[in-house]
Amino acid sequence: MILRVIALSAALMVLPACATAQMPPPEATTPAFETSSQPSPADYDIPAANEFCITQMIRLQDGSLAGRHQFFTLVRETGRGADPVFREALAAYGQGQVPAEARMVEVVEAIANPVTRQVSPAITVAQAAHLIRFARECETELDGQIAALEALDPSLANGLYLQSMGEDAMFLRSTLLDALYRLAADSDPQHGAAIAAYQRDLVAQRGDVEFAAFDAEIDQIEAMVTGDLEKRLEMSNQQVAESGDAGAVASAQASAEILTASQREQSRTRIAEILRQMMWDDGSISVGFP
Amino acid sequence: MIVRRFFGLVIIGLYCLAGCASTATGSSQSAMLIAPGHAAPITQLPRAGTLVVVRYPAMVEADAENAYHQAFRASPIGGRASGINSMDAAQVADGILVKSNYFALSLYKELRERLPEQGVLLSPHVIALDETGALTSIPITEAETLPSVITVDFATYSFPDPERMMGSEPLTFGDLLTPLVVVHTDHRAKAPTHGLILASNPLVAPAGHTARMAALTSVEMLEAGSFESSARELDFITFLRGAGQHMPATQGLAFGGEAHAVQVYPVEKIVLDRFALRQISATPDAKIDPLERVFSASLAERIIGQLHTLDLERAGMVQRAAAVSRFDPSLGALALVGAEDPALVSRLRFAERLLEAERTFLAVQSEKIFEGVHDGKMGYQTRQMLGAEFDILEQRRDLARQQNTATALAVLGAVAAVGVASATGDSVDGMDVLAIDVLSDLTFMAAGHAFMLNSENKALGRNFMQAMVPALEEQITVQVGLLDGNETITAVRFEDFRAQLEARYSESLRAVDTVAGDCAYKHDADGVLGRWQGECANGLAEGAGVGILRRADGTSVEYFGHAEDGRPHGVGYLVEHRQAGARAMEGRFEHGAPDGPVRVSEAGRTDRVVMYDQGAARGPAPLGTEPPRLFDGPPEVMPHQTLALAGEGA
Repeated sequence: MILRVIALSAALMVLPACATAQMPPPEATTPAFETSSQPSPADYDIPAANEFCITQMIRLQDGSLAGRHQFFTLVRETGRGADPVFREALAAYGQGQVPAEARMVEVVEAIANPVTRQVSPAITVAQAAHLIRFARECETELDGQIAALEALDPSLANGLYLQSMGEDAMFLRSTLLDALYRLAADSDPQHGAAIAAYQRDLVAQRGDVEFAAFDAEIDQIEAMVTGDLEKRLEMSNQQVAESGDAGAVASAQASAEILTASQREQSRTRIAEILRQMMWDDGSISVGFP
Repeated sequence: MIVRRFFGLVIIGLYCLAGCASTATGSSQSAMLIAPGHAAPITQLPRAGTLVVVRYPAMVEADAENAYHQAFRASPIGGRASGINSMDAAQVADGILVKSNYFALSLYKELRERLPEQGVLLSPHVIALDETGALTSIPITEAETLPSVITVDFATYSFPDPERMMGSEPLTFGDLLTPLVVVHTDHRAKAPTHGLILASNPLVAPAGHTARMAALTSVEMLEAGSFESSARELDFITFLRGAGQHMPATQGLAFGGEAHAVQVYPVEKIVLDRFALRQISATPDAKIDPLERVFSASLAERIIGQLHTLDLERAGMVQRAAAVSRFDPSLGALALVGAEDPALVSRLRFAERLLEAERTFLAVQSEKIFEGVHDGKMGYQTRQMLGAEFDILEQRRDLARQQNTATALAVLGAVAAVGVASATGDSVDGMDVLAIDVLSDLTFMAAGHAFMLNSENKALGRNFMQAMVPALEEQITVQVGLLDGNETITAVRFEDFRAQLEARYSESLRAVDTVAGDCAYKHDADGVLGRWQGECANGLAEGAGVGILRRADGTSVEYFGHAEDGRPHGVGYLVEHRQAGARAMEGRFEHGAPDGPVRVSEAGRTDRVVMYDQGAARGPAPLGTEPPRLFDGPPEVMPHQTLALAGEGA
């Protein structure tokens, strides 16, 4: 994870526009979707959105479905846990204005820049506030875009891929928290609680991401072990079924019947004899048993 | 001569009257069947656990056979122990294991159809000797190590003397089945009865003893800092060895929501579904369940009705803590009531995922036991045996009916002959003599016929039982083979599986700053200190956890919930184990004392909501007041239903 973060930071510094996979640098030529045959937002039945959202989304969009999905997901996850109280804290500690024409990729690059974070954490906070504003205010549009892209390519909803995006978002959120700590915002009586709540949410997000990976691994172990168990138990049941005498009950039943029939005859004879004696002794008539 | 015949006839008449044959009748409608319709389905499993575990006696270890047979013979249900042949009793004792094995699966099947996937597990027990040489039973699978809400002990029973098969004594043979049932939950879910919910009449006191001992042992274990509880033997085995008696408050069968008293299920011989039995008799391959319609479906409904009245999370919390502790001892206490720290919540989720994986494994094992026993050769043989027994029983009933007819004729003949003799007085002519001779001869013949039928009836039963010995042994061999194979295969794989899970758990965890601690707990003002496992501060309970404390008079207090400065503070659940019985309270506590509306549960009464003010009871809370709960409570509220059930002994 740390290596991934370092690699991402380096990539963002060296190739600022490649903050996420397949994303063209901001200074690069006009993204393909603006001029090429890539579908425009209108093609995806995007819900009505405000101008800020539309402008920013058009600016940050990459030419590929995957690239755009990745970036939208990253932005959405980065905005997680930033409630209005926390955003007030960002407004209080952020310094400097992010130009209105700035592309979100550039904003991400600025947040991830370790030099800025160390030398001027207030700028990092301002950049993050801008990104979070976009994530929160354009939440509906982002969700609509993500859903539309996943409908076009269901493979984008892949758990491992989303996990990777979650890790990148956590890196940005950790960076923001680091900047706030450098500014001692966590001990601010007015904003400290909001920052602590954001920190808890980040821990929970980290837990979710790690749990998703753990869950997938346990799923694999479970499937492997239970599959093997099922086969072995079936074989064992089969072996037991094939051994021994399947007709034990039937033969027992038959022998009981033979024994009973023989005893029945003996019994009838004996009792008939007793009665015969009783009747003859009295000189009365003799009647056989039915 | 007439006088001699007169006395002979009287003797025959009396003998015949005394010798009327019983036709082995049973109850066509089980007491279990009287239920107010279907309970709403339960759609969710409790966290990291299962809903029901069905326990039953499955086999007996070789060195415990004698002890089991002797105990079975010496503790008959429904009759006197004298004059019972030991060989016969041993055969019946072995026979009920085969039947218990088979028919427990009927209950499993019915529960499986009504509960969410993995909601019911099987726990076959092997009857064995403990370290002191006393009879006990040990679970074969690991199903009971998983948290569960309810355990159902199921066994079939037959009176140990097969000679009395046609009488009124309990019987499991042919189309008759005598079930013994005990339903338990954890004592925290039903404190006033120590978790005992329902028991067959003869097992109430032994099961009451087991439940009480399990509760007290669990308290002692908590005092020692462990969440583990000792494995509970089958209540039927406790009954057989006469280990102890504790009579709880009882009531008749109910459908949930009634007073805190153990429901008593009378011993009854149920007539199995005869249509199903005839089909089985014709084709043992047909997997028809003759118990389903007449008993097990209704018992399953009743168990689901009980699940609706129980707090599923509370019922499994200590078992869950024990199970989580096996993976991560530092988390055990927090598994009880949860934690607020997201790092701990996350860690707990990992541990609970491991338990869910174990549940999947054990569910596969249960399913294969079901397939092996019910659908496999053993099931085929048992169905064959059921069919054969049914045929024999029907033959014996026919013979008994014929015998009764012959007896009636004999009695009539005797009465008529005596009547003729009395009417003639001193003036006896040839016709009178002929009439008396004919009537008395007919009486002798009818009586002789009745004796012969009686003898044939007994011989039929005896011969069948004797002939079935090798078949029964064959069945036991198959059964032992199945369960041994299952146990051996699963035990190795379960250990391996658990090791793999533990390894993944260790690799995936990050270090967390705070874990459950072990510190002091205060409950009463007298300064007696107890033990707190959970979140601590300054050596005292602070946050979520469990507290345990024993007072000078020997009574003990368990508290689950939130604490501050060492005392209950916040929402919590408290169980007091007093000499007079256990009492539970759930609601809010302020600095150690109940405060506000509190739900109070006591033996023999329905739950009450009492208003407390800093520990002082202020009377019943206004109608509809709901005290805060530690967990979400029962899965859904069932309408309160009271049943007036005929013939239920309390």
